[in-house]
Amino acid sequence: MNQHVRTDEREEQQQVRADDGYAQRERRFRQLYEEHYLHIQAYAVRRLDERADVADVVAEVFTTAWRRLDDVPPAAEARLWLYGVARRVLAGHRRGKERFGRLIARIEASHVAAPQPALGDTDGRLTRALRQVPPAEREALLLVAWEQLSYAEAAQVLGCSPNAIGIRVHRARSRVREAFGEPPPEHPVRETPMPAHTGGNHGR
Amino acid sequence: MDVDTVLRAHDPASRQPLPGPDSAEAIGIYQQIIGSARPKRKTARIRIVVGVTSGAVAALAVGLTLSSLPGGTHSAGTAIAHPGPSTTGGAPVVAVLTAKQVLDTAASAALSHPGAAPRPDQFVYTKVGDGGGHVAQTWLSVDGSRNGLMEAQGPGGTTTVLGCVDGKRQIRLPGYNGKPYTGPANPKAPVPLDGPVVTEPCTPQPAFLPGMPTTASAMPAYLAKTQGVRLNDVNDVAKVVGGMFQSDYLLPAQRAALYEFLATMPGLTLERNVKDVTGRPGIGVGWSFEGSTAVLIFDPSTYTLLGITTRGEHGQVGGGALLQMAITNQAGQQP
Repeated sequence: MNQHVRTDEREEQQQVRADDGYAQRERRFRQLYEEHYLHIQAYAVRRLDERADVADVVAEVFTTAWRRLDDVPPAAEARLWLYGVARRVLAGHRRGKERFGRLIARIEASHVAAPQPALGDTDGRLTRALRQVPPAEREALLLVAWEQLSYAEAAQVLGCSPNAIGIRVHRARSRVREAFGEPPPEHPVRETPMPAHTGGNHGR
Repeated sequence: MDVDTVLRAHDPASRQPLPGPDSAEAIGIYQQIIGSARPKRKTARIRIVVGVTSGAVAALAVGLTLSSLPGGTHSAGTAIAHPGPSTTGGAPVVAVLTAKQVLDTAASAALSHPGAAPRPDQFVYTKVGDGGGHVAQTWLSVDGSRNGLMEAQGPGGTTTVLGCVDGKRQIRLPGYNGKPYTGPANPKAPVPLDGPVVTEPCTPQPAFLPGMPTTASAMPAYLAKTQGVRLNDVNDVAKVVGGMFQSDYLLPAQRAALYEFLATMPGLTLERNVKDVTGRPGIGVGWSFEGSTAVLIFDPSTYTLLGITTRGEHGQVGGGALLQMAITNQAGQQP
């Protein structure tokens, strides 16, 4: 009888510890969710054509965050980490949804796709201009202009050096200006490199 | 045209009300994630039902195999510069009072360093720190014809910078035995980079610019023509010039000419007792833009450029520190 009591107590203690661990985990996730929900939602709204897809992408980003909560960095870096996840989720979303051709699929894979932005420009001029910007440069520019990240922060999201971001952003701005009729540079500056692999982690 | 301002004016997220984390939609998503994960009595196992796609996305992560172009020789690399604070004497003895004096002194210092044009088959190696503990190493082809390499710590990994020969470059698609991948969009395992090789048009992008002028007076036209620099925008000029210092190999006279040209720009201020993003102390030439500031930071003894530090309107610090620059014979070779 006493043996049974001790066993029950032990199980109860284990359960309490498990509950405490879970509660702690959920507390952290809730904080993360409340703090960054709007940022991630805005990120998705800016890059998706259909508003209906936004909730799916947000859900997927935070599901990943929940599963990998131990990998999520603290404080401000958490948002950058979530942007990195959102970027990959969007890449997969777009690939799955639109069945890109082989060539496009290759480009998307090589850049870990920055999807076409959904813009509010009524004449479509800015959208057309942005489409002329290579994905890696465009995503760098949008992270700086829309997400208002510093070069160092954007570099963390895209997994490259701040200097590379600076060059990409500068190049993207030049291409947009050129598309708007401002004089282009005679010789293009160095292109954004293409990744040798993007496997599994944050792609460049 | 200020591209960022145009973009912000057309920001889709600011053109519609977005539901906050306390909205029904947000709570629904939260419950979806957490609800099925909550432990039940007598079991602490956590199960997640929704959200398997992210794993599939990560698994998709197919990459790109890049064609091999002729490489350089296999001899050891040649170090040409190791930027960093000097602890020895021999520094220029100048009472620096203005930003212009810092840049003029940097120009004089640049001319005192040896420097010869690298061979076309070599690579410009740079090592740049971002202050967040990340260091990126880059090997860029001197003439743009060979495959270079970028290596970043953490997320990002290794990136090949494709070389360009006769206006063409080759890439290998994901696939198997020379055939392209035709499976589902979200494969469960990464697809090997063993598909067909295809050719695409390109423009060589050299890391050494033999055509760059060696006089300050010729520099504005060159920068506007080749880099698209807006000459009336000190922020644009300084950032492009700073970026070139961090990624391109410049001859001493080219370097000096860039500093001398920069010294003619209005809006630059002297910044004393500054540090680069890795904490190295220096003397700076700063400017401000759209509520933010940026500083080119020089070693206070040798006047070599240490890097650029930016500070956003909310105090966020960014930029990069040039830790090393060298010429190597191969991409990936340590100098």
